[in-house]
Amino acid sequence: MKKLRFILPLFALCVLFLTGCKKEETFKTFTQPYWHEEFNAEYTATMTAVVTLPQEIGTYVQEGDELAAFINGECRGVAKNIDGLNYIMIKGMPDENEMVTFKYYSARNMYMYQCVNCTAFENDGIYGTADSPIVLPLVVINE
Amino acid sequence: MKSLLMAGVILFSAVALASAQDNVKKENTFLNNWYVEAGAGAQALFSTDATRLSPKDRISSSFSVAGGKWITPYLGFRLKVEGYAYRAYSEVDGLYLDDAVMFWVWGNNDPHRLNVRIMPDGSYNRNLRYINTHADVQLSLFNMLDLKPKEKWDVIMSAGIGYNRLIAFKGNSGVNSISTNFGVMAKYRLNSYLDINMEVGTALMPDQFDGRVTGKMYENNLAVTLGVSYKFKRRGYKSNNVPIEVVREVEKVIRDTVNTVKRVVVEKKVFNEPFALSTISFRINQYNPILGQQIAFENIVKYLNANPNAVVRLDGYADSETGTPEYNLALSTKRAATVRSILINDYGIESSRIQAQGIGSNSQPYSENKFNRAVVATMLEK
Repeated sequence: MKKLRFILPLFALCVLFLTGCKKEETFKTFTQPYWHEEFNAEYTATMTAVVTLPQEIGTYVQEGDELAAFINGECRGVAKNIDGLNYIMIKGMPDENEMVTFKYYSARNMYMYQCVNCTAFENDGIYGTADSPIVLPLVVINE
Repeated sequence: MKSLLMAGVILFSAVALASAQDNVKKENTFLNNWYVEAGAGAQALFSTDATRLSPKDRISSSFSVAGGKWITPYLGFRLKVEGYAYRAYSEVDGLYLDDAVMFWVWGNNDPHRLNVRIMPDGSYNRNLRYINTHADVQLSLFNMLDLKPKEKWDVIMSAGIGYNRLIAFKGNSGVNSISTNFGVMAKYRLNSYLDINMEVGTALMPDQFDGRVTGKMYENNLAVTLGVSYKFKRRGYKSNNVPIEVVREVEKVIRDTVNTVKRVVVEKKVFNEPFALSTISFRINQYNPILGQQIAFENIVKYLNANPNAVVRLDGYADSETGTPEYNLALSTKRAATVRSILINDYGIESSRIQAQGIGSNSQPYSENKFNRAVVATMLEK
């Protein structure tokens, strides 16, 4: 019985250790954004983007998800989803050549993804078409 | 699959070998040699993509209870129920039983996704709940190979087949499947009733047992559990082919044999200088002498014929490293009674000139363990 008094607590400790050592990895979550195009009379030029989400993200698309294009942190266009394709009319100045960043919010998982400097703004430019949409190389924001 | 078949063939060959070596038919009444076990430990699942989990994320708990019975010292059966959790891993491009488009055609919508946290790359842990019930054949290797270091340790192999039930949990539906189970257990005896053990086991299940179809032939887990066994009081094995005269002789000798101390005291009072003339050897757990020992019997007979006043005392022994003391006492008594019967029936020695008694395993005449499976013939004067 002396052995039992030693062995049973040891056994219980082993079980506790084995079952309790798991610590889940955490990722930053975001509240629902409200993206809308900034009004500026100088933004007379437009660029069209037709993009899709990568499969690992697109699988979880649901109501409340948002996709928008940004130049210098300013929202220049919000996507409309039509038959699984995201159409974005990006606004800017005619001679503007700044880099465009796309941001995507997943309401299902509350993750924010972005594609920084994905393409340069170009008056009347086209970034993807309905027949050949661009799959956005999105990266999760975790800082 | 080949390795699985090979393992099965090897195990069942070992069972057949054990049975073949065990020449004495055992009577193991229904109430004898039962035990129950309980254990807990950790396990990992080796399903598709599970290797993408970190080692600590793959580990989950496993609990088990079992009940069984040893038919012979080597061979037993058990029914084991184990279960709790598996940790699997999946990506978005799998096929899932819960998204059946039609018979044998599945879609890639896993309802489990709705209930678990999704990683930014779309992958997710599949937390499964299960219960696996299986019936196993068990082989005691140490008893088979006659290795019983201090009667404390044993190594037991097991193999069996069972029914695995994936329990409906977090969106998953229940899934039924057949499991093939293998295990190796190291057992340490604490006392007559309790053992502690550590078992390493694996259960092989068909690919879709977890609700996900990946095209693999089977998936398996690997579990390590620590457990406690409780052995019920009635243990031991006895033969059912004992002649009635031997049974009566055994009963008489047991009745007359109070204990070794009393025997020694009686010897000292009555006899002077007894000497051991010969030894008759036996195999483990048998009471018929090993063949080819006629010379030992003839020496006893010659001495008795040459010395009309002499009597022979047959002291039966059993080795102390196998069996319980109670069982060994009965076995040693049978050995002595069998030798006595041979001397009377085959060599015509008068029964009044033969004394027989079982000593058991409390006293060991030889330092080599297996030599103590013997009857020692000691010559005395009337």
